[in-house]
Amino acid sequence: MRDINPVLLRELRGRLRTPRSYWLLCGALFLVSSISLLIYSAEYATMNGQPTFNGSSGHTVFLSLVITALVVVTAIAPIMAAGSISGERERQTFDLIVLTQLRPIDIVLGKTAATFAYCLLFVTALTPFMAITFLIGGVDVGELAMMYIVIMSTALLYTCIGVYWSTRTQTAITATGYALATILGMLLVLPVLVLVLPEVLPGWIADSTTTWRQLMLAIHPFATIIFTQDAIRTSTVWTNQYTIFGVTVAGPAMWVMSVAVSWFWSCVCSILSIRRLTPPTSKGAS
Amino acid sequence: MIEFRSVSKSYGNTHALVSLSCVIPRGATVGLIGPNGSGKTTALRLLTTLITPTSGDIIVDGLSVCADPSHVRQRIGYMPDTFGVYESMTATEYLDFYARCGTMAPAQRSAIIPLMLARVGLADAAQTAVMSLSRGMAQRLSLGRALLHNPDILVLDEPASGLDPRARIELRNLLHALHDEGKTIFISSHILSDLADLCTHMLILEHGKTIAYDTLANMTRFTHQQSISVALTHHAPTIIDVAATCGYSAHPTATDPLRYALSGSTLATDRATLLRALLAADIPVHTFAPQEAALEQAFLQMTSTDQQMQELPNA
Repeated sequence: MRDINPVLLRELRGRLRTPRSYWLLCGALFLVSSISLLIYSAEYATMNGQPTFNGSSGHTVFLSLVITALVVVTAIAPIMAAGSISGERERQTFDLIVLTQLRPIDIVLGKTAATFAYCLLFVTALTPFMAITFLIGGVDVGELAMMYIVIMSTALLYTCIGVYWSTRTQTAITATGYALATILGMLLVLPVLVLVLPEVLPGWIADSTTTWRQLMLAIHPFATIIFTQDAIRTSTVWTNQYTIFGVTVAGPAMWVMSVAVSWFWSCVCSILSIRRLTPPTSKGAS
Repeated sequence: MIEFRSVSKSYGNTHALVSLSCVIPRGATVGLIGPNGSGKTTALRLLTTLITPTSGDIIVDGLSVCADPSHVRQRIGYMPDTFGVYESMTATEYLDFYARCGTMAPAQRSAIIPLMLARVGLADAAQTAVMSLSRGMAQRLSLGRALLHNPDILVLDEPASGLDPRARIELRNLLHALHDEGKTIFISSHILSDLADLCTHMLILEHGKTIAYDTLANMTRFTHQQSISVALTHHAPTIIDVAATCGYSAHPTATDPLRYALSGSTLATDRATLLRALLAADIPVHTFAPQEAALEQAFLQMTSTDQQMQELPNA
């Protein structure tokens, strides 16, 4: 049987043996539970004397949980991943790893998988909170699975962005800055473009504003979740109707596109990271 | 065999290493000496494939570090001048991690790690956290890591820096044993007495340029001075005249009037003849101790002025 990736093993052990990881996990869960409690209380206050919650209340609590989890993952994944390679440089262990028989792909995958696993641990720890929404009603298993997939795909993309910047910089703090700037750029600039472009180029996207917006927002996980919440009530889970240049066609649902786009860019970032770690070779004496 | 072929390394306009050429025979222990910024670490990093030369090439057992770095790495064990630590890892886990990175099989790992810890004198510290090891223990653990895959070539960058005398002696004994096993060893160090004791060859660098490369014996043969400390049982001022007849100047030391410092050029009589002359003249010699400062003198002479450099062979 093949050994587990040694970089992954060391990262997980190193991370989980320090109290920092437990405090971080506790803090994130506390945040999620506090927000769900606030939403729960707000829903209760709006019932106007009705004796029980309804499906809509359960769905609101569920959505708030998903968005809070996404916020936490958006913060945790790049910050943890950004210290992966640059942290080795700071600890002066980078040369030693590079000189082993590990291939650059092993190092990058080990680092990526370690951060991704921590995010998975966090999302898994959310399961009891999610279960509460089942008791209230208004959420089905498919919807829950779909949101988990979107959150974890986002975590993978942000981890890969963090690892990529980590391979390019000498210090973890610089890598963290670049990674967060990249992600915030994607999250903040994209909605602005979506709103501005139809006004600047009205002819180009005259009859298909909504479709272009959806396509552009496919790499925006928060938009994906909100759009999907609406779409799931009016159409099927897997497909959606798109109007492009006046032609209405069926295509994959927005969350499917979001996941595919996340995986694609995750692969691109990982390939770039591997290339950064691959030693240059030449023909020899010149 | 390792061959440096006109190896140069530049960073912009800064020339870290300029056209280094030398052939190192298998089993040699090569000491790299030079002032700070002379290119020692650059030469070692080039050999370990961590950086690539701007021009030239290094051939390690027929393999080019430029064209085939991954195979060169399999032959080299590298111990950097700093000991990078991972938090919350014991000495055994530290070696186990690097053994896994070296794609060592589980059975082989579990067999070799206790042996390696014993070899570097850390058997009792197997379960000690790496962060809490002393500097000397950390250096030995680092050497153990470099030896895990049984490399033919060891590259050690300042291995004795910061070590206390006992740790230095232990490290020196370990390196002697490795030399006896036939490993080719590169050592960069500022502690010349250690290098004089360990090395078969010396490479002196200054401002990235090769000042000298030769065997230790050849290099120290051409030092201009040799020093001997002579202690007497009672006063005998005639030692100054007797020493002078052999080409030595003798001066009583400031701290002990019965101890004389004798210094002579390479043209002076050899030390055995000097001792015989002293005894024949009834000088009451209590101890006769040649001072092993030849390498230091060679280094100082070769790195002091260009004129002196040109006077030396192999420069």
